[in-house]
Amino acid sequence: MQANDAQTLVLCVLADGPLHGYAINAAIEELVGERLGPGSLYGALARLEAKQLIEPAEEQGRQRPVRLTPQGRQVLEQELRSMARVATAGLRSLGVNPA
Amino acid sequence: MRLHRGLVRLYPAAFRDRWGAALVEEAQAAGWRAWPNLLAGIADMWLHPAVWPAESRAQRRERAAALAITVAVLAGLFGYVAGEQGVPLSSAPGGGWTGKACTVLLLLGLALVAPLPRPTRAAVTVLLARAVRRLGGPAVLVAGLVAAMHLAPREVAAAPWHGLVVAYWWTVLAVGAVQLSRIFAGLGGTVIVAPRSGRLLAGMWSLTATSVLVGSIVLGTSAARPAPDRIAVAAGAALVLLAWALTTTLRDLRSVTAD
Repeated sequence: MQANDAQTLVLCVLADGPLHGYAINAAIEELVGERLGPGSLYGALARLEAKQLIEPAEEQGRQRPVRLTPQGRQVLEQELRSMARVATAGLRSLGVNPA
Repeated sequence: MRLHRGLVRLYPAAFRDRWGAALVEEAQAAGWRAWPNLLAGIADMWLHPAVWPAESRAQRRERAAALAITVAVLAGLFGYVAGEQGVPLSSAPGGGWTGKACTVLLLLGLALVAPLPRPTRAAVTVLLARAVRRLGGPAVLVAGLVAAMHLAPREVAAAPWHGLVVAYWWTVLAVGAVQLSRIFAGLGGTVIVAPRSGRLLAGMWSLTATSVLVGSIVLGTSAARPAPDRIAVAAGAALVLLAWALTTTLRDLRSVTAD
């Protein structure tokens, strides 16, 4: 996965709690400044559900929110740690203080 | 609004049932700018049946098997097209053995990925009924052409009928190939038993090797000629693309159906 990968972004915004599709995209827009296309967003949701990294949460009316599974939380943490290591090393090489 | 609903209807049914309503809302909010992304998403989902919402891992394997059968049938058809265009597999280094090896790999792959009918009378009846329904039309059309060839061979071979007959033949073969691959699609666990992971993966690797091998031979042989046949080149490129579709499904299977 990469920082701008649709699946990573979805996992990231779900770390705060269950969200439905539209709210996931709104949170992604707030995080990275642009929304995912609908095909990319729901393709990512289908893949994450197939890998059992997310699961359906309690329905709220017509909305069908999803949440992270324990496995999803673990995978996200590993990915973010890995990205953080790369970012720290890269910034240090550029002479920029990673803090 | 109608257009968005229409586009979402092009997604696989399993995907629509789970995400369709929310997807329509999101697409409507994004407006016309969402169309290219939606079209890419539709193609993406059809090429990745193993990630569609499913009730079990067996259902995911069943869908991957249906895709593999489609690829096998299309690989056979494209190989036949290339042969008819004057690029037979026997023209590759190794002569007739290359063609035989490709045929063995194709049949082995098909045998490994094919879901088996449950050993009950009801399951076999459903499967046979579906086979007759899917293949009945193309079989009647082929029989009609063969009858016409026997009854009036000179007329059929002469202009303007010759071109029409060739187009008709290839269209019926293509429809038959698609219908053949649809026999096993969506039958469910009460009728068929999805192949186990190991068997499915081995079969898909065999079919991938067949597509790459036949595609490379057709492309290589065509390119070596002074005037490459465009149809043969297209068939060779399609075979390589089929191999790519299979490798993406193999990757999906590794991530979602590990036993």
